[in-house]
Amino acid sequence: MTTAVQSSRPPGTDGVWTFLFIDMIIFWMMFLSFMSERLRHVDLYAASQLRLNEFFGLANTLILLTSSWMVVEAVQAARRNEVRRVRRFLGLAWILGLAFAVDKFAEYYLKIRAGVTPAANSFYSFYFFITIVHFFHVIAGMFFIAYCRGNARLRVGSERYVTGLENVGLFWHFVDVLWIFIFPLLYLLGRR
Amino acid sequence: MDSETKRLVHIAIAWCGPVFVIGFLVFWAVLGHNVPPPNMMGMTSAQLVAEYYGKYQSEIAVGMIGSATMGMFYTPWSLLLATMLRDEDGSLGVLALIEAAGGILTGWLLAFCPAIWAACALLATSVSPDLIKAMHVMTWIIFDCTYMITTIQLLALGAYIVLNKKQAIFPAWTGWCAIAIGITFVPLVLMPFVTEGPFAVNGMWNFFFIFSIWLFAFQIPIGYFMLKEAMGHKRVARQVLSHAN
Amino acid sequence: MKLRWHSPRVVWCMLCGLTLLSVSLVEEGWHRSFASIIIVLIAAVKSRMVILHYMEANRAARHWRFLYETWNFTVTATIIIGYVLSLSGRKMV
Repeated sequence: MTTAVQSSRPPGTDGVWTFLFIDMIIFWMMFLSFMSERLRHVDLYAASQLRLNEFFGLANTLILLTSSWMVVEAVQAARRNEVRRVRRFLGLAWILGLAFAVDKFAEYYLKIRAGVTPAANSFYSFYFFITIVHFFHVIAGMFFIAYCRGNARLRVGSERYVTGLENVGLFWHFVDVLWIFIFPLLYLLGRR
Repeated sequence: MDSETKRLVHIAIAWCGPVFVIGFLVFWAVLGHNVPPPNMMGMTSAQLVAEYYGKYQSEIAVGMIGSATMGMFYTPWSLLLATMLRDEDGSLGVLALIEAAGGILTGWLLAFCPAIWAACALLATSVSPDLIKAMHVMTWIIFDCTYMITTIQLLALGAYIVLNKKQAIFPAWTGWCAIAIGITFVPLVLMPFVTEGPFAVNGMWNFFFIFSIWLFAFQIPIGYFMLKEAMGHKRVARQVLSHAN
Repeated sequence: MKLRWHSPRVVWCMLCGLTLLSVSLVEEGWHRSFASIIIVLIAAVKSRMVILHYMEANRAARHWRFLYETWNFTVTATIIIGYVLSLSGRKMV
């Protein structure tokens, strides 16, 4: 079975699928690098992980999953030419992105105030590196979502708009997929 | 210059890419004992001299002088690449110029830094280890932390390829790769501050990953399509002439 | 009302449920190694659901679905293998 509203053509464009795949390979390299380094310093990584509060990560996971759902609804609404629903769901997705950002800033603030910095040890180097790079993707996604929402009144109904929104959706879901792995990798794996 | 001569010149410059890669691998990586480089931030001056410069003095000196020569092959190659990034009206747009600027600066860096490391090797046994380490560290920080000169080259190249749907020289995936590689250099900002781990000067990310993907996902594919384009001029010239007749 | 198993809302419920399950495995103090591997496998299932049902890779060109599913498998394997090796104290590289 498939989602409720489909267009007759595949979603998004090849260029975006290509870009996202290459970006996913970069993140896989980060994960590989992390796991390799973790092997050399298992105890250090375990002890450092305990200073991460997994409920920040849990909140961010639920936020991004919900935001992804909102974007799916927006895409389906765009396929039905429902401007108000497109704007509503994109607005909700954007607000959830903002919630992610607030949660992330709060977490970083508490870490740095407690003396946990990227140079503290290699676990924290990875923690900040991976989450900050991911965070930049979230910010970029929020810009794209806001742009699509701003254009919705004028452009919903055109295939070009729907394709553009599908591409933004692909990007946002990719951001979600990355966090789905980042959360257990950094916060939960081997947690004592 | 007639078109055939121009074509031959372009082919020769396109081959500067592989010459740079092989030359730098031989001189800088192998002779220079840089696979990986010594973890300078985690070593004392005495260790750096005893375990690296003093131990492999003549090889490093020759390797670095050779690297200073081979490094500049990167620049003509990058400038040829810029000539392939033309706008529809045939002019070199800003993205081509940024790519060229990045290529010129990167080529300079690839020659300049090895020259200093050569000096470190040649002076290793006659000046204080602290001075050797200071020169070595300063040069590595220059080498790594000016990564933006290559990042802007890659971003400009990538943006041109991705945004110009009508260009037929480089497939879209090479553009996306160039953008991704340019961004993977950013963690080099951590290099001066860490003494171990993936972001150290010899770390899995800041050495092995970024140089490998720069080589395999940028130099080789872009160099291949450049050579293909350079060698294709004669075929295109013939087609143009035959249509004109 | 007929439940459409792959509707966005149902997928979201399953994703959130699996997320909460992952956290509970850690918080409830399950056997650490077992819980860690299960958590990564859960992440793989979640990721696949987002790729297929939200990104609609099941309707994209076949090579994209293949590449994205391969990525999912590779990341999962990388993390699990790395974790298992750390248990036995062996180096990965």
